[in-house]
Amino acid sequence: MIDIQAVSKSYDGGRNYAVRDLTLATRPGEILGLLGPNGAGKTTTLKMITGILDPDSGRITVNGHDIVREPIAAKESFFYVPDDPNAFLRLKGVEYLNYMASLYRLPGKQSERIASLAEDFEMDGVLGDRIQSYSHGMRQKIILLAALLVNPPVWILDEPMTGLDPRAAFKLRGRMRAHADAGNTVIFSTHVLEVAEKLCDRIAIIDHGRLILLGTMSELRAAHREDVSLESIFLSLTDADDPEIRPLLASLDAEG
Amino acid sequence: MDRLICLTGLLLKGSPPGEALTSERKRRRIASKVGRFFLYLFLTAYLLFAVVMMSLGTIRQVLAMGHPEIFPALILLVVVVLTVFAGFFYVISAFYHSNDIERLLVLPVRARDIVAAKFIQVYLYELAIGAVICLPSLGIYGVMSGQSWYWWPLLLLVVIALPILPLAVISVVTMLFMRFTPFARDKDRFMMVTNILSLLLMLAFFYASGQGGAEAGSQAAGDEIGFMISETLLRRLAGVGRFVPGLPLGYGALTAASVSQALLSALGFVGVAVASAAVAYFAADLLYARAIVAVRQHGSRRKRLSSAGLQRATRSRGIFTTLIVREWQSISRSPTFLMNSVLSALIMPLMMVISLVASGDDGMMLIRELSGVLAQLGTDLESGWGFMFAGATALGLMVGASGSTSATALSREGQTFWMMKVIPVSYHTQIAAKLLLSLIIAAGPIGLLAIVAVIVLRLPLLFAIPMPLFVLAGAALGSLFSFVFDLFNPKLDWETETQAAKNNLNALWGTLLSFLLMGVVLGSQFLLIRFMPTASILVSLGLQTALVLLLLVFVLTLLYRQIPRRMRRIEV
Repeated sequence: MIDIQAVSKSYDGGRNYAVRDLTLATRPGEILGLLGPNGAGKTTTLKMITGILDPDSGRITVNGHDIVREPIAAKESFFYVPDDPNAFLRLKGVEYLNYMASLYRLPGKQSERIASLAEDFEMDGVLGDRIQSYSHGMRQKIILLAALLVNPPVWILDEPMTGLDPRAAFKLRGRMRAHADAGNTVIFSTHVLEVAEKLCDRIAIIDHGRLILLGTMSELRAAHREDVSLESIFLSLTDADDPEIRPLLASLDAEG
Repeated sequence: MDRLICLTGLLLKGSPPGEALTSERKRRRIASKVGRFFLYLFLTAYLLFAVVMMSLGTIRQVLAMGHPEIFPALILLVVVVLTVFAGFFYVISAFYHSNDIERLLVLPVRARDIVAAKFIQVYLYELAIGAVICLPSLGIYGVMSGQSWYWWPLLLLVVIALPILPLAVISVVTMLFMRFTPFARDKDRFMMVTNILSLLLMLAFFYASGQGGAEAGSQAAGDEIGFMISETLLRRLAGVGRFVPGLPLGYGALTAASVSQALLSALGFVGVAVASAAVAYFAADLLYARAIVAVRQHGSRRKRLSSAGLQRATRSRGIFTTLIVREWQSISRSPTFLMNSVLSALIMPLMMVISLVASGDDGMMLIRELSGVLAQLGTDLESGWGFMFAGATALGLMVGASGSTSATALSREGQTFWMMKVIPVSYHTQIAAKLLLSLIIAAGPIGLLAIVAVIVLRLPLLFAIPMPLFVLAGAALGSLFSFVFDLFNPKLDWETETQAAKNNLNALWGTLLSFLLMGVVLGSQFLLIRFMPTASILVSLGLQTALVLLLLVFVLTLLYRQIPRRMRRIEV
C-alpha cells in the first residue's frame, strides 16, 4: 500500500543526507514499525510519504497513487498524525473533527461517530473547548480521533503513543491492530521498543538515513541470535561501537 | 544580583534558537533582520522629523507668549501619558501573558527578581520611546531658550528617570488587578478588548484633531506658525503635570532659576523614581506569584458540549466553505490577527466617515458642491474625469494592501503549515479560499462605502457602475500582489502571532508595491491627458478597464502557475 523506491532527501544543498536511497514497501494488512535513533530519518521518511517534503530522487506511491504526480488521490487514502500535535489550537475539538470530516468528504452528519469516538477516548467532556486549552496528551488524542473518524486505508503515525495515558495507548494499539486486520496498512515510528515488538508485523530500522534492517521479529532474531530481544538488536545495529553500550549489549545478550 | 543580570539578559535576548538552522533559513533570517533594521531606521527618522517639526512650532509660540517654561512641562506630560498608556498593555503582556513565564517560574529565582528583570525589559522599551520624543524636542528648546551648561546633564537624568515612576505604579496596580479581579486574566479577551479600545481611542483622537484642525485653521489663517495651538490650551495642559506625582520635580530640574534648585529637584525626581521601583520590587514577593497562579488557573475551566451544540458544530459543508470558515475562525479568534486583518481594514473607511462628520457643516457643503459639480458631468464629459476611475482603483489598492490578511495568509499557518500539504485538497483551492476571505475583509467595508457614496452623490450611470467596481478591483489587486510576497517568502518560524502578523515584512512590501501600482494607474490617466487632450471620458474608462484587467490577468496567471510549485518547495 506504501511503496518507497530508491528515495533520497538531503538538506543544505546535498551536504547532509536525511534519507539515502531508501527502498521499502508495506503490505496490505500489516503494521510496519519504523525504528531508529534520533535524527535517523524516520520523520523525514514519513513526511516524504505524506507529501510534506519532496524527495530529491526516487518515487513514493500510496495506495497506488504517486504522491508527487497524483497528490490528491494519494492524500485521500491516508491520514497523517504528526509527532507534534500543536495544530489548529484556536479551533474547538469538535470543529477540528468536523473540519477533517468535510475535507475528506465523509458523507452525511458525523455527530454520532464523533460522540462515540470521543467517549471511547474520554474526550467527550472537552469537545466543546478550544484545542489550545488541551494538555499535550489531549491534543494528541484529538488528532488520533480525526484519523479514526476519517479512517482511510493507510494510517501514518509519527510517535503516536507519546503523551497518551496508558488506557488511551492500549485502545489505540487495539484500533491499529483492527485496522490492519481489516486489510489496511499502518506505518508508525516509535522509540518504545516493547510496543514495536508486540504490535508490529514487520519492523524497519533506519540509521543515518539508510534502511539497515527490515523483517518480522522472527526474521530479525534469525538474522541475529534466536534468543535476543529487539532492544539488543537495535543497540547492536545502531551504535555497537559506543563504549557505554558495549557492556550493556553483553549483559543483554547474556540475559537472552 | 547575578541572577537578576542573567535573567534580564535572557529576556532581552529573547528565546534561544531551539534547532540548528539550515543555510536557507539562516539566509532568510539575516535578510529579515536587515529589512527590519531599515524599516526601524525609516520609522525612527520619520518620528524624529515629526517631533522636530511640531517642537519648532510650539517652542516659537511659547517664546512669543513669554512663557518658555511651558514647553518642558508639556513634553514631560506627553511622555508620562504615553508611558502610562503603552506601559499598561506592555506590563500586562510581559508580566502575565508572555510564553516564558512558566519557564521562569520553575527556576530557582525569587518572584521579585523575575519582576525586576521584566521591569527592566519594559523600562528600556519605554525609555527608547521617551528619548525619541524628549531628546530632540527638549534639545531644540535648550538651544532656542539659551540654557546653561548644567541644564544638559540634568536633561539626560530626567529623561532616564522619567518612565520609572509610571511603570512602578502600573506594575503594582496590575499585580493587585490580576490577583483580585478576573478581568485581563484571559489573554485573548484582554487583547481583544484593548485592541478595540485602542482603535476607538485612535478614531476619537482623529475626530478631535479633525475638529480642532478646522477650528485652528479658521483662527490661525495667515499665521506663519504651522502648528498653532491656543495659548489657554497650552497653559492648561502644562498645568495638568502638577497633579502627576513626582513630575513637578522633573519639571523643576529643567526650569529652576538656579543651579542648586535645579540639582535638588533632579535628585528628588531620581529619588522618587528609585523609591517607587523599590516598592514594586518588594511588593512582587507578596503579589506576583499569586497573580500568576490566578492567571494560569483561569484558562482551565471546562464546559461540556450539549447534544444540540454537537449537532450544530457537525453541520456538513462543502470543501470550499469549510476552508473559508476555518480561516475566518483562526483570524477572528486571534486578537492579533483580528487587529491586523479585520480592524485595520475598517480604519480607513471609518476615518473617511469620521472626517466628514467631524467637519460638520463644511462636510455637508463639500458633498453638496461635489454633487453639483458631478451633476454637470452629463453635459461636460472630458477625459480629465478619468482620474476619478484611477482614484477609485488607487483607493482600493491602498485598502487592499494595508490590511495584512493576504500578505500573511501563509505566514499565519506557522509551523502547522504542513497541514496544508497533507489534506486532500488542491493548493489552488486552499489558497483561493484564503484569498477570497482576504478580499472580503479588505474590500468589503470600502466597497460598501463606495456604493453609499455613489448613492449619496447621485453619480451619473457612467460613474455609478464603474466606480465601486474599480474600488473592488483595486482592493483585489492589492490583496493578490501582497500575497505574492508571502507565497515566495512566507514567515513560518514564529513563536507568537505578533511575530507572524505585525513583524512580517511581506505586508510592508505589499504596501510598497501597491503604492507603485497606484502611481501606474494614476500615471496612465495623466499620460492620456498629456498626449490625447481631446480624448473622451469613454477612452479614459476603456484605458482604466484595460489596465486593471491586464494587471489582474498578470497576477492571477502568476499565482496560478506558481502556487503548486512554491507550495511544494516550502518545507517546515
